[in-house]
Amino acid sequence: MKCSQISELLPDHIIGALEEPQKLEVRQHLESCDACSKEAASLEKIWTKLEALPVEQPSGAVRERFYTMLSAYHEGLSHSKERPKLRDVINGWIERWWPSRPAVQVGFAAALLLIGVFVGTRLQPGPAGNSEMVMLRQDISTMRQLVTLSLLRQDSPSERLRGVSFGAKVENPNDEILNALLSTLNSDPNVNVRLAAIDALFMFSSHPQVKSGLIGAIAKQRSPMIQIELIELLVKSGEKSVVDTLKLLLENEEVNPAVKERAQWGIEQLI
Amino acid sequence: MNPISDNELMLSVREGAVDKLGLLFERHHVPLYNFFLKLVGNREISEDLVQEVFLRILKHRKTYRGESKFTSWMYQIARNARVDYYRKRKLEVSADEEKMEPVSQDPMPTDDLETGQETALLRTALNRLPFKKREVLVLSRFHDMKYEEIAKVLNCPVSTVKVLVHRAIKDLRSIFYELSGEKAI
Ligand SMILES: [Zn+2]
Repeated sequence: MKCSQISELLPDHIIGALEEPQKLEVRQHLESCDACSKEAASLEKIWTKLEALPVEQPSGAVRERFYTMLSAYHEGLSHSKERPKLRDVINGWIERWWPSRPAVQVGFAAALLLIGVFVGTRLQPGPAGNSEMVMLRQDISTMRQLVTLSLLRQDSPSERLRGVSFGAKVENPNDEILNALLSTLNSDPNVNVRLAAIDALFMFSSHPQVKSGLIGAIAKQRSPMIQIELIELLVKSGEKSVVDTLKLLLENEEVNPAVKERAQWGIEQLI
Repeated sequence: MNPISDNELMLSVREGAVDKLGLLFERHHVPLYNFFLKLVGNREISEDLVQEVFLRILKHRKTYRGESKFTSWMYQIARNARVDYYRKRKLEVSADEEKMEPVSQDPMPTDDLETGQETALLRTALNRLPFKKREVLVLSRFHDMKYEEIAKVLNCPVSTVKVLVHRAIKDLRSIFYELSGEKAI
């Protein structure tokens, strides 16, 4: 074979894709041809270098998510045999949620698992045809709460943001949801998520615990932007009980001047 | 006693023994994660995609034919999942979210100083390869796939794969030495 033909075979030679008799022919040629053997060595070098790229390990969350999904799926399957209508509903949710937002799967799977248990225990002995839809609606509301809670625990800010907006849509949020939103407001590392939590919480500001939580958050926040946002919203809603907190801000030396200015403005508005 | 094969496991999953998927997950999720990591360069997205692949396997288990290797089927699903992920993301993700969390190259942990630099160079070189070449190179080098198997995954002729792999190796070599300033020979 000529050098040009050998050259064509060199990549296969170095990756071990050659069969006899070509394999032998190439080897013999390389022994006698300096140019081709240099080329082969050079290709082999880069191929070997790739070995240096280490195998990376995914985080443990991958395994956790997988098994949550698997058990939820399992649960869904066994219930679907008993309740065809529910299966349709649940499948609908799967179609809408699972494929598009992989990171939501943990929350959703967990919710599905629980709802499976719920539905299983509640509907089985139930009176025939009795307001299944009402219970279903309650279940979906419960599911929404569960999804919210688990989204708020995700590592990705965009998923937590989604959790916050999901939470804002819950009709009658229970204490757990409200507390989760408050703790997001107070301790989420991402400022956008905290801002969204403020908006969501204001929707529920008729709850006393939310109102006091929002007021309490002003002093806890380290971000001036969040502090100003809280002050403005509370002042605009005419919340007079915020005045004491604002006065304390004015006395605190560590507080950002822009925040103090807004606090001063707030006090003037409310008194 | 031979361990139960991937194919047998997947056939059981197809017939409803979905728990058997756990074993397939244990065998393949790390290579699959590394496949995505080399193609998308982001840990979080790669983890999401791993999850997505196993979900699709579960959902579409009835379509498993058991005629070719399980991994060929799995990597076909993986390729589709990646394409769909980006297609959906483009349509669905609002501009705000995109700004907040750009899809970026994660800094990878460097092993030690000496190999660290070369590893980083190799990664950069690999990332500069056009996508198709990178994909075949990854499958061939890191997943020990033969041309025929890659052709099945990509659903294209073996000759195409062969040409792509050849070019990928040569291009990678040029890019690497250009980056490193080292001589190729
Ligand atoms: Zn020669």
